[in-house]
Amino acid sequence: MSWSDIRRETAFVLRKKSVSLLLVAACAMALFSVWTGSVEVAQQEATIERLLEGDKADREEVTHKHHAYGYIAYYTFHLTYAPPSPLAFAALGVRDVYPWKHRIRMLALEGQIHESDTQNPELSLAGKIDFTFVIAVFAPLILILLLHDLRAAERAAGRHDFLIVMARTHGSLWPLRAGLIVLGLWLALILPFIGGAIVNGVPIWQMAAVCAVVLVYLLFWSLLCYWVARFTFPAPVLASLLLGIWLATTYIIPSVGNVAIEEAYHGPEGGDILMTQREAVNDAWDLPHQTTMDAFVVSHPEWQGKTETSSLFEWKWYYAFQQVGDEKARPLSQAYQQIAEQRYEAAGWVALLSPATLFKRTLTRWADTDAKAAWQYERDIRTFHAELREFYYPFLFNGSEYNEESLAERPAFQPNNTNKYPGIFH
Amino acid sequence: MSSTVFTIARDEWRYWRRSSLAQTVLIIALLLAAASVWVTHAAISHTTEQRQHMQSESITAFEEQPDRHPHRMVHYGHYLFRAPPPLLLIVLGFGVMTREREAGTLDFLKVQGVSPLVLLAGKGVAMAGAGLLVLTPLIIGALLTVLNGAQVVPVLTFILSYLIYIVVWCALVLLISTLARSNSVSFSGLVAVWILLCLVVPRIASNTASVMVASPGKLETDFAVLKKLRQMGDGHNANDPAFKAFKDNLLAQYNVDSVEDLPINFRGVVAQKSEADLTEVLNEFAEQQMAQQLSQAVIARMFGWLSPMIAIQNASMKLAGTDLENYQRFMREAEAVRFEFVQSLNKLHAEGMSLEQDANKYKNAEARKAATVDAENWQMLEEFQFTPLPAGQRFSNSLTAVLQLLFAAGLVLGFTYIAGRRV
Repeated sequence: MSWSDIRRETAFVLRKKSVSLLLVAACAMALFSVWTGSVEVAQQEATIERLLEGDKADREEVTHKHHAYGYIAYYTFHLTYAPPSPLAFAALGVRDVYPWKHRIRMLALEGQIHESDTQNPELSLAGKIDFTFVIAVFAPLILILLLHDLRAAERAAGRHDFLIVMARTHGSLWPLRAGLIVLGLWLALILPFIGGAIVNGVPIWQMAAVCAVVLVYLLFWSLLCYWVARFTFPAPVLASLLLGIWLATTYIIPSVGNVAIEEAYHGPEGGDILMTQREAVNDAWDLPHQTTMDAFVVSHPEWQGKTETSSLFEWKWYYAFQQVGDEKARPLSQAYQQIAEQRYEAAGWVALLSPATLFKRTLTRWADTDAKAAWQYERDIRTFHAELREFYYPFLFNGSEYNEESLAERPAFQPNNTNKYPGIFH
Repeated sequence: MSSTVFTIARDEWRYWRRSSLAQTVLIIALLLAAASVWVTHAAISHTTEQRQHMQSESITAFEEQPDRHPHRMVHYGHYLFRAPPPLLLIVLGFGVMTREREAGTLDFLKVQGVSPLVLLAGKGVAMAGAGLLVLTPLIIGALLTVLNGAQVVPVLTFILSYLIYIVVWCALVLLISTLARSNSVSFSGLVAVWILLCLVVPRIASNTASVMVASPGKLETDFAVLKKLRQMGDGHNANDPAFKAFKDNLLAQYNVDSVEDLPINFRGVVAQKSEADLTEVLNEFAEQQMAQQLSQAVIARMFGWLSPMIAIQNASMKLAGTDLENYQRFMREAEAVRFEFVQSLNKLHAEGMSLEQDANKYKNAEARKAATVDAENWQMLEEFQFTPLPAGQRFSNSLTAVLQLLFAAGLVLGFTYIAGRRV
């Protein structure tokens, strides 16, 4: 292979109108997805900013208005959130389905963390374009259009045998031509991404990793196209075959797999957890205080002996039955989480049959926008909520006099810092 | 002439019957149909099951409540839960015209006096036949729903709009096959058009809509609600100064000096009033959010003029009554049921016990018993029934989308006619 080969083939490839048209279209799609993805992430960040401000003002007002730990704990909300990672613009992931922001107070937690924003049902029907979608679904189609008639077109034009005879080495013809096309497509897709990554502050190693994995994914599809293109069928037959493979691996296998997984792993529904927790909390009003307190000290032995109540309503009893309500729903919520994790793992095996899904899983994992990231956020909330309880219980059970200054020690939610440097290293 | 058209169509069908590609495509289509029916069915039955489970659970759980303080029952809350046919036509028909061109038979036919327009008509009939075949399962399914009690007008419009949709794709295949020089150019062009119309434009539509109209999430609405509520007073606290004017009014109305002298439970009255105020505020924000979602949907639906895929989706949602407007109607009706229910509990709270009984409910067990109402009162929870829109209304709602389909059909057929005259 020599420079003149490369120059000749480059000129040949680029002079074909269909090739440059497809490359421009691919570049336009990538640009559009990077742009709308960045807007989306900026909106999420702006939302967090506004929420932080509102949350602070609200908390100050509550502190100003109430003068007892019970009331303060009841009326004070705490904003928890998972900020989008720098890479999120390229892989929006499941942040539209899983919540990434909650306002939490010291009531039973299971009633608070399963809520999520309702999306516009008509818009979610079509789904959104992000860079991951452009690469996973759209790029293979472009590759099929570009590569399926690599030889068939020359055969139809009557140049095939002539070209083979004339080629200096084996590599200087088909592999070179295909390689140039793939390189061109990779550049058309990756340049918009690099632009977006710089604007969004993606660390350099992560940028490089995304560029590499996109290249690997494109190479996989090109090799498939290249291999199919060797058969001596007319171009449309070859393309139909490739389209069939694309349809099966991109749409059919994942959706059939999803249904099969849902059927295979059964567990409690989210609504069951909510019902159990509400039932427990609601029933507690009619139970003798001692019953609730006995259940409470099982998990909190340190308050043994401080649980007697003298009136039919006392805050320590109120928060104790909130805690007991959570503990009652806990096995269900753990089972729910376990089923979700089993389904995720099973989906990982299905993804081995679907390169598009595998690619999507990789990128959303790096961008911290997948189900795993959502679970991590849920664990962060649970930790924070537990800290909140640990903070208030001494005041409530020791019957301490209210002192506003003590609130300075109250835990504040810190978003998970690993989000700052997400991805391939965890 | 018409016999020529049918001869051409029959010849095309014979060609497909002999081609292994066409047969493979048909087998793939059947597998696809089976897979999609299974997936859809599983999804629908899963949600139905879940909904029924939730509904029966929560209603029985509620009705089994022992005698309780009515306000607490309010807190208990109540749940109200809730493509590839064009590709096939492309693979079948990309060569209808280019094949004749590549084989050189096009000139033969012209010399023999078959005008290109007649040839196009014949190929069109052949394509339409294939389209009908692809649609048969859908048509049978739609007709079955009529037997099961669905109304005739929406179902017929539904079938009609799918027929127009198939006409659009048949005409697109004809048009591009007429314009293209070779089989492979025709095929690539058609696949590119399919990607554009079925994959790209719908997503561009939803991205554009959500970028153009930002919809604030629930939390942000919560802040706005909280802010308003603070000005209105806390319904749990009848002593909230915000209720002073209300209290003075009530005292004047009953001509008494203090709330203790009122013949009704003041706390219950405050709960009633603040629930009404709160609901008004919440509904105001809910309406705002619904308006934003609706304007997003309106933007997305405009793309139906560009992509028949979006148009057919809108038409079928409108006809089936599963569009955003109906979803919002459901939300409003569900909210009305909730409001009525909560207010009847609050009414019990106001009229079923005295203020003294209510205020002393935490003193001792006996006082607590006095502050409850009879369990029979919980039976008031009526079953929530959501009635779909009347057939005429659904029909007229779908007209814009049907018009978009007709526009696309007219446009593509017109271009095909022009292209046919130039062959």
